[in-house]
Amino acid sequence: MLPIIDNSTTALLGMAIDAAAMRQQALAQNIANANTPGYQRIGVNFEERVNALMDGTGQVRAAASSELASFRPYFQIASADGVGNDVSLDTEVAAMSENTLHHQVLVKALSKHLALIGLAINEGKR
Amino acid sequence: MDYAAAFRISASGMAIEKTRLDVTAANIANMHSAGTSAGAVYRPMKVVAATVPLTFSQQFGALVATGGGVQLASVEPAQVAPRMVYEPGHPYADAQGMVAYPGVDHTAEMMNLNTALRAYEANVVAMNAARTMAARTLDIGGQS
Amino acid sequence: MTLEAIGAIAALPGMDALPASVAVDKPAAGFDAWFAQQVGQVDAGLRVADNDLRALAVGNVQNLHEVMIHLEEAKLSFQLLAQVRNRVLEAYQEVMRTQV
Repeated sequence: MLPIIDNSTTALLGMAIDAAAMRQQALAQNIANANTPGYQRIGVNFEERVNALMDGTGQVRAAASSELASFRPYFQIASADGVGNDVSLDTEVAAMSENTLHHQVLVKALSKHLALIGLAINEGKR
Repeated sequence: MDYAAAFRISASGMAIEKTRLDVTAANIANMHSAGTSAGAVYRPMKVVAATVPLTFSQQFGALVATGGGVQLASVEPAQVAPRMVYEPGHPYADAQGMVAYPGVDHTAEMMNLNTALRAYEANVVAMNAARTMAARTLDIGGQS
Repeated sequence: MTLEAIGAIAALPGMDALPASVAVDKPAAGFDAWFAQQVGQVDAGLRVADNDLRALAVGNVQNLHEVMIHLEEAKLSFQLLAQVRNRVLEAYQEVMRTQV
């Protein structure tokens, strides 16, 4: 977006939606391999790291895009070594429905945020 | 996000569970088929699956999923000893009157059936979730 | 030819003392001050909504209903502000168009 409009909230919301999409794929992979011997469960690491952006009062500070780039979500192995296949179908399916809801919430929030910016650009006229 | 990759992962999971179901059904159907001798009796089959690793590659600055899912490594006979039953009048009875039946464990096969069914349902849930997320993503900026 | 008639005006009594100009009442509180205050309030509401959005992205989803309410409130108050501004501008332009 243009520098005059761009702010870190849109970028942060975009990364959160990325993380939700990646988590859906990780969970689908876990479910597909629920009965494969020796399979290691995978997850997505995003929310744990991005807590570093919060300051003491519970506010999330606005970060520059270069700093935000280091918070991109990535896949990680979620099960301990030597445990074997510890995929529990119930846990994975429950996590998947929670993740789907979170994705919908983020998409709706991003829509509203962009609509607000659009309002400002259109000076209140449709 | 590559939605084709998410569907492919769930589809491969469903295919494997369907194969497991077919193999279990074959085992149960052949539970009482006597063999001409202990060496030629039906051996219960089992499905061996292998993971296709999920990797993400950078393409045009965006993350693109490649691979992922599960593939069928082999369907191989289990090394189970056949069940010998004393039936002297049976045409396949050997010198001691023992007839060889396949060593199919009924309970284990029913559990396999249940496991395959639950895993299949879970894969369907995963595919529906991927479809819902793809549909909702189209709503970005649609209306306020 | 002299215009004695015009000179006759100076002879009228009481022409020098014009009545003091009527004092125009200032409005009770300036409209511009009120408008600036409203802009500040809308800005504060937008900041709150923005912070809520970022908390949502970070994964803090305890107060989802509050986030949605703040977002909607911010949007509505901004719309109201924009409409007030449009009306004021229209009124100003109407006044400017008045034929003298």
